[in-house]
Amino acid sequence: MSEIKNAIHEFGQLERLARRDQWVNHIHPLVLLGLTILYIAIVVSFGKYELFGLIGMGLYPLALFILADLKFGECLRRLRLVLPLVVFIGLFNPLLDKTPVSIGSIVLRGGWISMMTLILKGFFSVLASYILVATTPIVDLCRALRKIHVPQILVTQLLLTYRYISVLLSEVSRITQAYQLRAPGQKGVHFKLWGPLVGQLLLRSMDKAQIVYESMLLRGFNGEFREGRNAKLTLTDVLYGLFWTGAFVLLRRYVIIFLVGNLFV
Amino acid sequence: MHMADALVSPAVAGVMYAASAAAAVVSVKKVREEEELTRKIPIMGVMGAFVFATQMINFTIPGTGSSGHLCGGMLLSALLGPYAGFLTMISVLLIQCLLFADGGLLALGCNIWNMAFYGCFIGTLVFWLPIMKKGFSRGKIILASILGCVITLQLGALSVSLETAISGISELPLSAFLGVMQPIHLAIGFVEGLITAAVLAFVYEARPELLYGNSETKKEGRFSLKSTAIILAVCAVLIGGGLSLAASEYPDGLEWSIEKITGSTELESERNVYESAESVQETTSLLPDYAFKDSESAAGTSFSGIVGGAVVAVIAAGVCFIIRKSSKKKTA
Amino acid sequence: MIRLDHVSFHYSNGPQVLKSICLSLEKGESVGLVGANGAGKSTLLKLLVGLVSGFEGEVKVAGLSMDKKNLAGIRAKVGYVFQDSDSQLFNNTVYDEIAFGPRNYGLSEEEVKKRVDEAMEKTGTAYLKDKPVYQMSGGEKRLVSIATILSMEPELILMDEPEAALDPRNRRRLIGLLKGLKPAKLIASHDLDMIMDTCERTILMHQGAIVADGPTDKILRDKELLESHDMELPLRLQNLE
Repeated sequence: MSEIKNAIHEFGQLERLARRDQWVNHIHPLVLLGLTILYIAIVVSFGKYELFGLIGMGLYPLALFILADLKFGECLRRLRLVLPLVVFIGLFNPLLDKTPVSIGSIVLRGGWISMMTLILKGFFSVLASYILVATTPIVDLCRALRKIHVPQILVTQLLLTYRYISVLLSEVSRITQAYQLRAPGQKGVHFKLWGPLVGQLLLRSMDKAQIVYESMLLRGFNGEFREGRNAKLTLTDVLYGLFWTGAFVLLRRYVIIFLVGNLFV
Repeated sequence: MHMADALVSPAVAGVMYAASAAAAVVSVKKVREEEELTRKIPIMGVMGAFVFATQMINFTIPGTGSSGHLCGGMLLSALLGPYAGFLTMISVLLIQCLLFADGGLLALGCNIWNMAFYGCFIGTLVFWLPIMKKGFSRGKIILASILGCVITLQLGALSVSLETAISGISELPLSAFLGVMQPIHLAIGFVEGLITAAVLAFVYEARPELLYGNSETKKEGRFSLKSTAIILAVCAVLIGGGLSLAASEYPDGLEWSIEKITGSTELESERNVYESAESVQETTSLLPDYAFKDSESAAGTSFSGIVGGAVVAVIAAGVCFIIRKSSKKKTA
Repeated sequence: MIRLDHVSFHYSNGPQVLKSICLSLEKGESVGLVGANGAGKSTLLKLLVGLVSGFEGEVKVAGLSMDKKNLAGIRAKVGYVFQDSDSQLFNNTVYDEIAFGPRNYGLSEEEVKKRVDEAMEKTGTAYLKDKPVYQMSGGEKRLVSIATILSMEPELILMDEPEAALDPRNRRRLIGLLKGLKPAKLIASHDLDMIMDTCERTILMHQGAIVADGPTDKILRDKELLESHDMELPLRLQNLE
């Protein structure tokens, strides 16, 4: 179950990336979050044959990977969950969609185009959310949610969950290791132990929650996490947001690769 | 299963966000009304992390070589109640999507609905509480867990299929989609039900007071069926209305693909090809199209695209490198 | 600081955990609380901050008698360091963690910052300010746990096995830190050597009762007393004969 080790590693890796001292990392979390959602929404709004327009949307991840000094290779792992599903669904398009669509002088089945469009959409949306979490600590992101009036309970709870994920992941990692050492050759947990193994962990988590509660209570907790000063929106933040919003709109409207290409051809 | 961003259209994503947000607002209100709010918050936080962590455990399925996993909605709600359970699952799904790219930011609304809403609300209010009405027992816990998980996963799978179909992403007809999704999720739901049952039965033996509904104060349980019915009805109307709006805005949904398959056989001449390509673009894109205007420039177009793409990429990369270099100097 | 008068306690349907405890602790005093597992040390500590209720007898902490109405007042004056740092540190960054208490008591953000800086200064944790909690070592977590209560400027500090799971260097640091803290302290521990270094007075508990209360030097050198209550001499005194 090296999956857990990987998860713990990924956790630390993102945190480290997000906390680097670079100007992209200092853009207000809300602006980055808004831009990311806008970007993904625009990417998925491209029609299924608008492959060339969609390629232009690659500018944003390209630019941000360079600006934020991110490694493309580190992000590839994140594709493993989304891409297989998208590819699987996309694979049927060439079989079913026989509409002829031409690219230049070549006429292709529309299904091929729509499959590539779909895969590219999946690819771009994963890149965009990677850029978000690699430039903004998740804690700051959660706090920013308060600004758009996400209820306090949800945000507090989100912060707590985030805090205890690493604690419980290492606990699960220890338990499964102890299990494997005494049950060599088993791929997973034997069904007779499903209840006791997870149940014990559950009871321990509940006890932990009780101590967390007591510890909060002793320091004056009354149902609300009070926040310190929040970062204010600066002019840079606004300009950054406007720049990309404008860019997205233009990229949606014009096929940049043809516009620029025609200048040369 | 987690929906990916690429599988939903913005309209469907929006509708599902709205539906999930509505359920979240109701839940926040309900959780706030509870007496032990300050105590519940840390429990929700830690249990969210617990679900997150236990999702990583492989459970060997007896008699097969494969292994199953826990999703957790039903389990959480059987401990925390549907409202707190739902809010906790939202955090789990959000963090999963941000940290591990499991699901996507745009599809989050869909995922919350497909996995958290059904698991928490249908699971507890329709199965857990009614079955436990006259007291708990080991057998009833197993029954409720399996029934709850199987049914809620079926609903989830159905929603995934519908959302994808209405988004007009896949050429697969809905029936084929359903034919694959539902049986797979029948198996997944059954395994999840068994795991949930095993864990809840253990809790029942060790600390029965932790189970939801197993205390003297059952006031929530009493009016739950009625309120569930109301919530469900409202949600059904909301989603039904919203999705049909979304479907009509995007005609490349179900009807469109059927129309297209029948229509495409008529197209023979090259001219018609271009026409059809144009009409496709007009209907699929909000904005006017770019290529295929006339056949003479067709050969040039593809070349232009490649050159254009390369030039744009090089220029953009260059500018960004310069920005990064200069900003580093400034801060240094 | 603390006055207990014939305090007894048992959990519902459980056996007696505390038996007629009488105890007083003065301002600025450092007292070690020792005893075998299950002697009632943790319960006693929890009782002093109102985490267990339903006791018999009289409890006064920081001049306030223990009841529902005084609870908030008592907790504002008492700092409690839990055995499990991970449970005590529930915020994601060190700064927020240390600021949690002061913020809850409604201090202005300037005042909060001052308190946090002081607490980090005292515990030598300033370098951890922006570090995510989960990336810290056990020793760092313990020091930050102590900082979280120092920022509330307590009059009394209760500690439940503060040395647990610390390496020798961090244990040394902790002892140095404890010696320098002004508030009254009640430290429950199995590390008798640490108690010798930090507390002038020691209380020995056995099966829910106080069996000895006096100068540390006297109690922790009394081999017979310790051994008859499932304890042994501090390590440094063990091979002297």
